[in-house]
Amino acid sequence: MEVGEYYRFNKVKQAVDLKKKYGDEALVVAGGTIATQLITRFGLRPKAILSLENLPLNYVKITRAGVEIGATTTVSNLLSIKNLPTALVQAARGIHGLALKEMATIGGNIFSPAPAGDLATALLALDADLLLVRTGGKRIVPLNKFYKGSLTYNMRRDEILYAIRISKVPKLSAFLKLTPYAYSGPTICSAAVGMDLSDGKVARLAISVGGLTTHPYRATVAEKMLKGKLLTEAIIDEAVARVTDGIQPSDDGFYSAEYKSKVAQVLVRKILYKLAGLNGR
Amino acid sequence: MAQFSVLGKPLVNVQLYGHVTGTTQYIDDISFPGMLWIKAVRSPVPRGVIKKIDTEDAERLPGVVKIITAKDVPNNLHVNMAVVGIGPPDEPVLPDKEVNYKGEVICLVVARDEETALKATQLVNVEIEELPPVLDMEEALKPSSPKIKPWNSNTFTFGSGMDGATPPGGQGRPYFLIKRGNVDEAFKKARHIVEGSYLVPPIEHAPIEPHVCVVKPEADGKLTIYTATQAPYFVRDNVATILNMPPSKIRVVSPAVGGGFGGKVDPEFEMMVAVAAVTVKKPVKWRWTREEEFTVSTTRPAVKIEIQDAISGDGLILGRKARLLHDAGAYSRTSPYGVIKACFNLSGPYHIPNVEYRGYCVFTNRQPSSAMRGYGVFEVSFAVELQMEKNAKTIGMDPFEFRFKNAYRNNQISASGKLIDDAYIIETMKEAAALAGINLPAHLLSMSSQG
Amino acid sequence: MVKIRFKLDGAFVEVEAKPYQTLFNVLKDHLGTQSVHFGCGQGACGACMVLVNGKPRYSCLTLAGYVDGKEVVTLAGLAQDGELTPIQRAFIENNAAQCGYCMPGMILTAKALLDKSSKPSDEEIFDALSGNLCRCTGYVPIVRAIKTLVR
Repeated sequence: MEVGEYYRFNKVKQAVDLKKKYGDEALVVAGGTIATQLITRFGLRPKAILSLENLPLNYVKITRAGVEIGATTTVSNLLSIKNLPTALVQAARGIHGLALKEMATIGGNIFSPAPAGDLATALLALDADLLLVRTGGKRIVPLNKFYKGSLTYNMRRDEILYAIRISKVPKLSAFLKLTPYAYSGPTICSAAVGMDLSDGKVARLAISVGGLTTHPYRATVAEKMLKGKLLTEAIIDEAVARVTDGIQPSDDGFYSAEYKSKVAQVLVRKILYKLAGLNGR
Repeated sequence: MAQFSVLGKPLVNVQLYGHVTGTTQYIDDISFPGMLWIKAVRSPVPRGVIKKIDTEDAERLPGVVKIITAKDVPNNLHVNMAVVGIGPPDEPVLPDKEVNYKGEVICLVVARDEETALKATQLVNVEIEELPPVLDMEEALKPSSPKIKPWNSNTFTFGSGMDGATPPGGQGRPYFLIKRGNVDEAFKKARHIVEGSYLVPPIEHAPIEPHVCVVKPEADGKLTIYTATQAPYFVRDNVATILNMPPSKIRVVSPAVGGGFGGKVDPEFEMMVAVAAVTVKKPVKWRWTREEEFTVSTTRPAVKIEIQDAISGDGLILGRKARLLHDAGAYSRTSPYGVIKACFNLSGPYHIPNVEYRGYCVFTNRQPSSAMRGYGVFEVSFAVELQMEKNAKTIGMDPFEFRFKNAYRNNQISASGKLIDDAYIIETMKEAAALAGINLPAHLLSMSSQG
Repeated sequence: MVKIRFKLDGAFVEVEAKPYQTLFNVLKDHLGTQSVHFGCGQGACGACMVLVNGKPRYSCLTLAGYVDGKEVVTLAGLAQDGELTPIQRAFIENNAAQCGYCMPGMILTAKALLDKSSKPSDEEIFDALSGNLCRCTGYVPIVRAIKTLVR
């Protein structure tokens, strides 16, 4: 089928009904920064293009219950909101350039493979949940359980992403990434931490790393080593050495796996030192 | 004293009006009624023998007008530098026997729109028997390596009159040779011998405008070629030779070019578009993707330079030996000229009385390389200046002093036998130091290019 | 097919495009627009930039259907009645272009930046321009041109 249909709609119900009709043969497009390239550069010819642009999902709600962000909220819109978790704001600021900030959406960022996916890295450290909807139903999937493999998601063929919820915002969070140039270039590696301290000890901790694998992952071995501990440089260093445990990054055309792994350690260490109030490297 | 209205006054570049209003015309803006589009079928392997090109399925796709192969090219030789006496020409416009780099165009699809042309390229079936490729210059020079040139070597032959620099009838060598004085004596007399090895990788020009070309056959039998080129005469003369047309019947139009930097000097594809236009007798357009720019278009060559300097006790370079390897890629194009240029610059702006320089134009199964910003000189400057630093460090002399002492002066003879009469390097270094806030010692400041 | 009706540089246009075509395809190949340029198709160089309802976008990454009912402004639509805008004059006076191919993106980004904030810091200027590439000028005269407009 060569030509395909282009759909725009104002109501979520229309979106999910179309997604149900076309299933995997539909290409869902929000900002289009990655999805359009599937068509223009990779020859994808979906049976239907579902453009989410007119859906009322470009919103941010901050309540006592936490933060809810509509799936098609642009980076530009995110940056205009006050009191968002620091890690998310820092990740959003790192999306380079004005046009990208207008086009890129938080929802699209969650699906995008490395080197994209900075917002996903931040959200993973904030224990975000995804609200997925379909005709006649909805379900919540923690982002931590969303990535099943490279470009493979815990998602049904008839579902679309509706919103992202951060129900318990950690008191401390930060995001850092390394790009080839100070103000531009694809992410070589990104890291984010979400943390709560209780009596100076780590009560809640999430460390996420992006750029080494197709989608960001949680550095659970390092997290376990730091849970319940009073953070010192030595204790952080020991855990940071294990931040790439369990994953197999690969060399790409520019950077070796060894280099990227080293960068991941450096970024996580910098964040943890900063959040723990230590004068670190 | 006459008052000038233009000379000596700041002027506005009149092109800027078009640039800032978006009215400057580039080749991509050129379009004609009935214009057709080209997309290429490219070799997926770096080296192989073409067994079969099956275009039947592609030809049946509605909208496909013609598939252009080698047999449609009247004179199937990409002549490039042969028009100025450098040869032999070794590259076909379209290959019929073998492919020599990944991405080499095998045939062209001409169709009513770009999308159809692209789809048709996926329907062309090419059978290639792969051959072991040569992908590294040192490997290419080994006697055991596969030989990818029809004259059974992986180097260009210099010295026998077909390199644009030497007279005919001379002894051919696999390298370009510059020899002056007696390096072996110089090395015997040296207090220090300093060696260095320098490598510059291939660099892609990456102009923001990719290659794009429209060729229009005119009603009176003439041909108009609209192309983003830095060298309209290269385009015209190449196309004329390939189509067996007199150059006077070809008009090359190049309005604004969106950046070239040397990447639009070699006529890489205009002749292919011209063959297509003349075959289908309609205007034809080809615009490259950014992916093609990076993987197929010419780059600055990879260059490896090994230098050995013989230095006297008082810090003068008595002699220099250098071995330069220039990766031409699969085909000569302008590389022999680049090697010659590089070799002439291996002394840098310094007086070195005894030299032996060998420059190899090496062929590998990689995308052909070409000029970029200071062709042949950039790589050599990099190597020479680092070598000078190394020399100074090794003998324990200040790097400025080392350069001042060795800079060439008027009335000296250069390595290539030229009488120096316009030396200015010492004065330039003095000015640069002053601008950088470096206070040079008096004995250096008292030196000059006059002696 | 997708039927789109939108305002382009002040005039309404109606185009029928294939659903998978981009706004760039429509502007360039259907409408012969000279003020957008193809550089990469990846949203890196910005030569294809336009303003859609006042917001900067890469037209090579915008599907054609997106602009239906919207207003698109290209570099050619900035000057009103032949009067150059201050940004355009600043670029001329500071020699901020050589081949000119990156200009649609550079100038529209400058406009979007200065519309947002009349006093952008150096960092904000660099960050805004990070969505545009230039291979000729080395960026210095472009930044200089923009800074002359910072009040």
